[in-house]
Amino acid sequence: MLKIKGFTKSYSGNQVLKIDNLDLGAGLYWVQGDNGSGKTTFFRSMAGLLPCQGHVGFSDGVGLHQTPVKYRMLVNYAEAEPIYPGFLTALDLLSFVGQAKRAPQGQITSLIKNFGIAPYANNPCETYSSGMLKKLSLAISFLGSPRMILLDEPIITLDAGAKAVLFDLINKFLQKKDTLIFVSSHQEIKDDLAIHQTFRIRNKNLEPA
Amino acid sequence: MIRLLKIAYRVFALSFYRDNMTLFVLVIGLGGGFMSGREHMALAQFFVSSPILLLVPVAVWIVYTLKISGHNTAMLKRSENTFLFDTIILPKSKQWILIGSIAFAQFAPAFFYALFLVAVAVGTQQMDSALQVAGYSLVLYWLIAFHLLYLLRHPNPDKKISTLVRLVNRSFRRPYFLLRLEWILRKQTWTFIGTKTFGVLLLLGTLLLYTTDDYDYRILAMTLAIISSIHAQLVYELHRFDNFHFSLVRQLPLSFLKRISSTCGTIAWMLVPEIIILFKFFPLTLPATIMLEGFFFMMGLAVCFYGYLYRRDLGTESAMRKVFLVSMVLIVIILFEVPLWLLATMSIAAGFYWMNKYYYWFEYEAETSSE
Repeated sequence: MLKIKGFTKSYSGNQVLKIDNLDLGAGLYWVQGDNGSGKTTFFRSMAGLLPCQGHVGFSDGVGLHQTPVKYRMLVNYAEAEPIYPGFLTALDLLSFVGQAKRAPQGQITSLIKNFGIAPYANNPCETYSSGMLKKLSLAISFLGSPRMILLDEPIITLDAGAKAVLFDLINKFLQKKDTLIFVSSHQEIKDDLAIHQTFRIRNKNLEPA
Repeated sequence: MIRLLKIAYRVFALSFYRDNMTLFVLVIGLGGGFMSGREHMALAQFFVSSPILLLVPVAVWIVYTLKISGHNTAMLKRSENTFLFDTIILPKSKQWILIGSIAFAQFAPAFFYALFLVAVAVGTQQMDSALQVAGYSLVLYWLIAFHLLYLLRHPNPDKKISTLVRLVNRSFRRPYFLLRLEWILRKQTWTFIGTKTFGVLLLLGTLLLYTTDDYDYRILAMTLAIISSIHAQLVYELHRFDNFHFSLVRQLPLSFLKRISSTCGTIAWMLVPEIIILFKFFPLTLPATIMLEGFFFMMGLAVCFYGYLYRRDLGTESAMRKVFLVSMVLIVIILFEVPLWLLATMSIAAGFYWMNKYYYWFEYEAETSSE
């Protein structure tokens, strides 16, 4: 499903991450690593937010560098510490991203309801707590029909209810067997989610744990 | 206490002078370079000669006070400065020394000019004016200090959302090109107002010049080049919004055409005041096509700069230096009667090319180095 070949990421000429060859099918992948090991860099590169070298793409030919628009349609990303322009509301953001990602009818309403965003959906983001921002970011990451979802530290700052909603959503996507989900988390998630494989970023390499 | 004072000076006062360096350099340049001592004296005597005229420097001090208060609010909103809220556990006398010193350091330029005015007023036996100047400056000084104290004592003020804002938010979804404009207006209000005022006045003055004699299009073209160069800061902010503050957009499946058309839309909206002036006061002595060429020339230069910014991460200073150089070259080119449509086409083409080539490869060299 996802092929990564000859992937490298450098900052100012210094290589910080390297993946020689990786072929992954649908399922949930847990990415571990110490602080500063390069988890977020890996996620942001996969999402197309940071430029990188090498091949990253799906088996049907859709690739990060070959077809950047199609690739972005299929890849969603939730930041570890999301920040949005303060004057935008949750509904502004969900509508904007939903439109770009061609979210099916009713998906935004359902995500708002599930994550409990409704009471503050029309308020500007600058009034949100970090937990509220996190819920919004997670809701955004499930918009459209993603083939790969990258969740960077998704459970930090989440309340118990939202955590249950998140796990439920992840499980629903996994049941479809056509989605690949990467999760980075310092917290234990094995009891709540069916992890397909665990990776660890060690010595600037992503390798099976 | 001394250590805390030093930290607070750095956070509030030094950063204030650093952020407004251009303004201070301009004021010092105008005051020290263009006006002689005698002229300063004459201006001061003019101000203190009547209570109405005294309102001129007072109005400037009020704007300056608002600028300081705005800066202090922004500084305390930064997460790295939250430790400063702990100052409220200091004894009250120490709190006042701290806040009074910061407010004085920030308000000092206005204070010194007020002292000068007081001296002039006393020297010319206008005691009423002297008292008024002293009163106004002290009140403004206390306002800065009280405002800072209020901010420090209210670390998490409840954000009240007005009914109107709620209604707008509920019934209206912002299109992307408008959203970017709103960002610039909110975050760069003074730069925006200053750029627009200067642009409109310069263009108006140039167009009125055509009513006095028979000039060709080159004076207008040079003015448009200058106006475009002063818009560079706003275009820079636009680029920063798209790639830093709202980088989520980079992850969206938007085609090149959508991205560039949205950018052109935002720039066109930004140029609306100049476009109105250009159309309304366009000289009859020039061919009408110049009006259209002029509009595309301004758009082209903005798009060109926006695209150029994708080549690599440039700091503001480096980017503005390049803009200055290019404007000088452009003025020389215009003097040689190179047609505007050609310059406009070349600029737009270059902007499109750079954006198309470098968009996905652009990244900030130090992502955390901003704001």
